[in-house]
Amino acid sequence: MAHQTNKVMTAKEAIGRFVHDGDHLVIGNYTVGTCAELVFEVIRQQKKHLTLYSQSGVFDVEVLVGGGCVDQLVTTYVYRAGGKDGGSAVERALKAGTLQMEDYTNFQYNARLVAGMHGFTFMQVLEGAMVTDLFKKRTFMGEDKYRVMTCPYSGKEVLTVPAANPDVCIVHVQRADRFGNAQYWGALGSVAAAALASRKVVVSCEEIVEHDIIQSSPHLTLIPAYRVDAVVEVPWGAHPTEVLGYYNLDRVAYALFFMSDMTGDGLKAWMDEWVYECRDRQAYLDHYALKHGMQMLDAIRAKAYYSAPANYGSAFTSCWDDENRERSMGITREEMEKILEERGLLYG
Amino acid sequence: MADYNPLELMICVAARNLEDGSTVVVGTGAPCAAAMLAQKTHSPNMCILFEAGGVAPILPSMPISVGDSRTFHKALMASSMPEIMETCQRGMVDYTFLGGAQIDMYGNINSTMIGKDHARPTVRFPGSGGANDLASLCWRTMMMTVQDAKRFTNNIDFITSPGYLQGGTSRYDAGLPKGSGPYRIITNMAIMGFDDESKKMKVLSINPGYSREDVQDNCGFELMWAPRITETDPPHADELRILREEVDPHRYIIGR
Repeated sequence: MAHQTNKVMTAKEAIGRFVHDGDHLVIGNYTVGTCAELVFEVIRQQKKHLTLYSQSGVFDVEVLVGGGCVDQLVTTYVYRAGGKDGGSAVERALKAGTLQMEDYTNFQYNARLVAGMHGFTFMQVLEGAMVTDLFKKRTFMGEDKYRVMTCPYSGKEVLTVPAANPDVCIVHVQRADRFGNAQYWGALGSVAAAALASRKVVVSCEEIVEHDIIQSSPHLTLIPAYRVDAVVEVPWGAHPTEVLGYYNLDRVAYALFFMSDMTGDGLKAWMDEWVYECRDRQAYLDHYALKHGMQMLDAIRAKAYYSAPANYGSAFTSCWDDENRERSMGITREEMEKILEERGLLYG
Repeated sequence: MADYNPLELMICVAARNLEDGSTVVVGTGAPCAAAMLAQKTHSPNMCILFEAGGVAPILPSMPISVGDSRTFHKALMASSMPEIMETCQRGMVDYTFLGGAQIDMYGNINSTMIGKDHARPTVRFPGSGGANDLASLCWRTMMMTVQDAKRFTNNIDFITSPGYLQGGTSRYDAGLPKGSGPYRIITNMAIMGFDDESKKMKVLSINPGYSREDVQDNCGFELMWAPRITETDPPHADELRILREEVDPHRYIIGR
């Protein structure tokens, strides 16, 4: 059973096994908790010709496009630093003609993943976009970026977007067990839809916890083990972005990145230093400590602020032991049915 | 010399528009500062929503991103992006704020790109994100921006978010909620609304230190004028104190 298989592996092994050239790859995280180490590993392994999906393509999209991994981009939001003299990897790639990009709105992008998650082929979205250039300007998706149809119920013209079922989702969460039950809390963004719409899921987490931790807090599980292919334990795996309950955004490291990103040469130098010359996250952290000092990381560690636990208790358990006896009353099903029958309650 | 800067004025004016009990979706930056200022002054019961899922947080300090830990601090709900958008779609959200590189006389906004060819832009801006959704679905859209003739133009390169489209009833004819649309454009020079009939941008008040000519000269299209143009009420001492000491003590937004 997929939910009882130990799927713990390194980022190198997970990306090597589950991300392939030409894949449709979706970044599961939205604005926070970016799966930075998994993204870096995709770049280190020089994956090519990806169609990249990212709800908000800031740090993740910049480095993947800068690393030459992406041919096509589906997103709603990209980054640009530095005003008039600034720039971004996306802007440079668009100008050079090496990248094609489809622009959606947040709601529409999410709708494509939700359709994919449900196994639908399309999803209705609000027609507001039809009167804007988001609808009119299309690149690699052409006619299939949006289609208009008549609603079979109201007779109205409605706008639709096609389902997205990416080949693989890479996503960072707070904690998971070794089987892949992934727990995530805070800004839920579009994390669940991105993961559940995808054919393969690679989860990285701040810590791998015992299975019973998951069992005691099932409401926090966003991606169940039977949908997950790999689990990678990576403390600080989303740095320089933030993970609720673990660390804040590293404003200094983030700002230094975006200053570098204003030019192609600047980004290349940054990636040489932080991606290519650090073979894994531990090497990245060692380099960080050497360059900035560990105190900069200590300063952004989260202070604990716990949620009240949810009470999962009940009056009795309703489970049956090996001899077919109900655990709390110690009687068999036949005995119980007999009691109910005597009281006229069996089928009433 | 005024003892406040243009951004402080814009934030204070924006905050005054957010009445107690209203619901507002904000991003980060100046709009968030305006919402926080309103929450700490006249609107303690305002419900602030963030696109990444935070519902009604008590903001302890300025969030840096819409999914920041602060957007959940003592919040009522840690929901998801589609849940926030669905809330807007069902007409539950009164206000939102947008930004952009260009805006036309009907309040249509470009936050996507500058250039003739969308596929190969001269300048590529962030894009829609949630802007189109919010501009389509929230009842009243506001914008805080520095005003100049390049930004305020009828030749906008890309319509990212719908305002009143071609004016008149065209926004509602296109299926957007009746009564929704751009509400206030708050610039360093003036406060604008929109004409009830034509839906053209209309000056309501002029900020201290600027003239009617300044406002028109720094706009690429002809502005309408309210019958009685007043001077914008400048930031009050208590608003400035709360803005500077509680909302943005590190002056990330209002500048140093």
